[in-house]
Amino acid sequence: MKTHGHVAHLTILLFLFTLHAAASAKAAGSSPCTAANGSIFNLEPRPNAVTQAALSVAFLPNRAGAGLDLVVATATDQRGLSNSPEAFYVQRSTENCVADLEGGFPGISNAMGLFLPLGTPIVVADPAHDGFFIADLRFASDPDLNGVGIIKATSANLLNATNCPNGTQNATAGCFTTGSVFNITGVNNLLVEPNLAVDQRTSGTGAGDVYTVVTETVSQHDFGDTSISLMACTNADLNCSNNILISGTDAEARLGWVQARSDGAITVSYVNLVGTSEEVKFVTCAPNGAPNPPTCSAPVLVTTETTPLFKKSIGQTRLVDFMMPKHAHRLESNGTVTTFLTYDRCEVELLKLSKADNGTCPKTDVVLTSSTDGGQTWSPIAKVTNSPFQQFFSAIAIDSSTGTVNIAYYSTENDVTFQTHPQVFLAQIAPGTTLVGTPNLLTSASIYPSTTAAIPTQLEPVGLGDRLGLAAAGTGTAGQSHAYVGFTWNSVFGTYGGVSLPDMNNHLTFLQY
Amino acid sequence: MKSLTTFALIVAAHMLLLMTSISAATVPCSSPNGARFNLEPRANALPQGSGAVDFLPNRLGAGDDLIVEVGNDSRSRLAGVDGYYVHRSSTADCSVQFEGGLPDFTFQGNEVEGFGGTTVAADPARDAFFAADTRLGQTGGVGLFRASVSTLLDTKACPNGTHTAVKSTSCWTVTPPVLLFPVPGAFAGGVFSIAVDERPTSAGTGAGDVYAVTEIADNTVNSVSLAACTNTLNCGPTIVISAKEAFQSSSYVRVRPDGLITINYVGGNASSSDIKFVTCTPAGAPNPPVCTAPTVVQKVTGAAPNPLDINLRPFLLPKHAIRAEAGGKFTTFLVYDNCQNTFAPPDSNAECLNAQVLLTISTDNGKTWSTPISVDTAAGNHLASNITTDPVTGFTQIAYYSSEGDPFQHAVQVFRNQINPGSTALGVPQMVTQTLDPLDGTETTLIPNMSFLGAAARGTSPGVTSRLYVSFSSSTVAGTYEGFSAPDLNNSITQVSF
Repeated sequence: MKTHGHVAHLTILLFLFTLHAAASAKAAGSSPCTAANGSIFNLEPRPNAVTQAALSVAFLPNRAGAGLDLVVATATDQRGLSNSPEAFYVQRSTENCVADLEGGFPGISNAMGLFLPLGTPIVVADPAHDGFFIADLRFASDPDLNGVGIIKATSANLLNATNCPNGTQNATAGCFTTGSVFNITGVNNLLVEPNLAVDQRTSGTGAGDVYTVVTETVSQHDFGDTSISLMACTNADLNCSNNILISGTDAEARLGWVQARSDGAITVSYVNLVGTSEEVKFVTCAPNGAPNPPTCSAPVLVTTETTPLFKKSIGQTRLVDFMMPKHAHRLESNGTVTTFLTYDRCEVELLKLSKADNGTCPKTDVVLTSSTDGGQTWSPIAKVTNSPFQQFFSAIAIDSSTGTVNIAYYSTENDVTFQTHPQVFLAQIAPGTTLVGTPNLLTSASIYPSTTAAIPTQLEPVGLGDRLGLAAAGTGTAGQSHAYVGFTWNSVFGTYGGVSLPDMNNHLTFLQY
Repeated sequence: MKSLTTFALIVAAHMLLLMTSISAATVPCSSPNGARFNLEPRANALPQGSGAVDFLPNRLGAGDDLIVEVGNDSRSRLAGVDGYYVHRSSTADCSVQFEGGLPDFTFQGNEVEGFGGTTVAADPARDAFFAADTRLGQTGGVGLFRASVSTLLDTKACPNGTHTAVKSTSCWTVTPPVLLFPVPGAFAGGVFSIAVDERPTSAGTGAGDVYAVTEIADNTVNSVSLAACTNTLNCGPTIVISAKEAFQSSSYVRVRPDGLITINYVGGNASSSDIKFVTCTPAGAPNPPVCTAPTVVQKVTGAAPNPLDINLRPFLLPKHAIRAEAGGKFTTFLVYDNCQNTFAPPDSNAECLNAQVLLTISTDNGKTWSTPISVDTAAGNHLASNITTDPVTGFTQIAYYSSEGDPFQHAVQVFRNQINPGSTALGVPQMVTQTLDPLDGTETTLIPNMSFLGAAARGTSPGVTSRLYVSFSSSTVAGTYEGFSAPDLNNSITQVSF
């Protein structure tokens, strides 16, 4: 017991030393983006601060100036900016991961009513057309309808301080050029988890088209039956196709993730729950030029995980996880495409220590597989890292300028005693290989993630939310690429009745490589 | 060369044996994080939460105390959801030799089962321990058990290891247990407390008597009641000591060194809560004591403890300790957790942003009380307070959790504050456990109540070092789950000499 106590102390000291050393290394860097906690990426005043949870990030390198990226991030934001639970945040004046402006998204009117933002905004950059697209969920009343909203913002607009002023904005319509709502259904068919991608080509069928996927739930079965649908829209004016079902006969397909390959093919990964297993599925679609819908193959089974992670506790963290497959495509020098797919899984059987226990995963991993034949076959599932404890909320993004694959995740590996304090890591796969390099620690500090909001709100996400945002791009020259990670963090406290307490915020950090 | 290798191997083997011997033989009480105080195997370990602790100093030998800790235990293999953990080895440390759950017993022909809330009290004068827990059955109530030291040291009646129901029965029912405060169906009483009149049996009326107090709230009764039992558990009728408040809670009983019974509880109505104090004159159990009307110690202000942090609950459970002074006078110290900063978000209930431990003092037998002061003014949460006075030396010890070392105000350490004999001044808060412990257990649906620290201070004679034991919950010792190590909540113990 005495020995154990000494070991425990030694490990704690080593942990603190590691943090200190890592903090010192980061301090040597010049950018606030690489500070120990990254940088808070919203403008909310600290008194009575409420929760923000990061969802996505996108950027156009050097678009705001030489060495100054135009960065747009989205988050769940409980302030209710523009009467919505979501917001966007823009860096455009200084390369410091500090938001210059923020705001809620505008409502979108059409013949069926005024559709207000309902949540889950996801942003992607469109460098080929110098702008950004954002997809989110929308809701209209009388009659009650829901749909997928798509908004377009040109870089010119986001950089125009007259149209899109600095500060916290409640009227942000000037920041955006086009907005439409599609896939409109009654609320008996609830839509969740939208995602989108833009074909970056400038020529060929489908070039520049915008694709969205969304999970549709059916109320007749307690919203248990779910499917994935895909829609194609034109880039310039968001003229969209009908939504098409792409998850085939899968009865519980969720969490679609769409990408557009460099040859214009559209690819979608998702998870399908079958009994007590979770299947990772992959669909490839050929573009037909929006507003014509693509033509899609039948879903291919990537792998089956027999320990379902859906809403299960991540070790001791008091956070819950989902299997949320995400993929990215890398164009190889020989013209072929390698597809990398990552997701969170439970390495061992779930713990259920009581009847009321929903299940705890003792070891959560971020895993990776790849395909070199368009998703027909996949490599064996491999862990991104062999680090101990919990790795979760994986995200993947390709830097097409260099061919570097970036994988971000939280890990508790440095909290050797309690395994509850996560940090943000970024692993990379070098061009031309499928091997994961040694992960980079992006936040040398760590937090306790399960604090309770001082001001509870109805739609407040728990803990760190459910994901990281990740985007990577560069000029193709070594040292001029950035991988931005949007994450949820509570190192910046709010003040409540004069008392300083942890407050969850969307943060931003990057790795320059 | 071969002989050199052989020698080296022998030396290494001896060193290994020595290390094994040391680690197996001693469990230091005062190590930086205290000691885990149960015998649960590490594979798929379930949470335990501490309840109370008491001990008999030097009862096992010089410097070797007989220690009994009780708490909540999630293991279904124990007799109940409450656990007892006993150190009785001849090695003066904090190892546990046996553990178990207090056994089921029958009341009016029906079995009553333990259901947590366990507490314990030592009786040095009669060489015994008393334990009590909540009981469920066709009739519910408080189960009161007595075990003599001779029984606790009897390896046949109380064998080493984890007790089955048969073993816990042989260990704790030599004196038949009794059901106090019987009510039909589920016992709705919340926190209860027991105390022993530790005076020598011949010292006067009530000497050796055992008292239990609880609030009772069923469809017909709503009160704080007191029961008096002889040392061998012949119990009399319960008496109501509260003043018909709309509600009562958190009753706590002590016995003054002169035999007077003192009780604090919380009573109030929808708009306010008062900490109240009652004194009772012993009548010799099973005769019930004669009690005064309650006096108000403090009006409780601030938010209801609606905790921001699920682990840290500023639970209003006042406790008091009494110190005998020269000239037959007494000083009563009362501590309680209080919400220091209340915050009312728009359209939400008021919340407690941080908790503090307050101390108030009476030198006139509870008639008047000093203005409460904070035991620890450092920023952060201070909670789960307990107080104990060493009857031999007069040192008073206040134990509590503090999150002052954690910027996230979640992880805690055990702290104490000492009041010296003859003084009513608080000392400097002193850290007892070193590691900031998040108290996040294995599995959230089984998390036991961690709002309690147990504390017991006893010495043997003035001028000789006394000892304070604090029982607490800790997650510094890991369990193993599907082959992976992960923190596990355990009832733990630490010792401080003073």
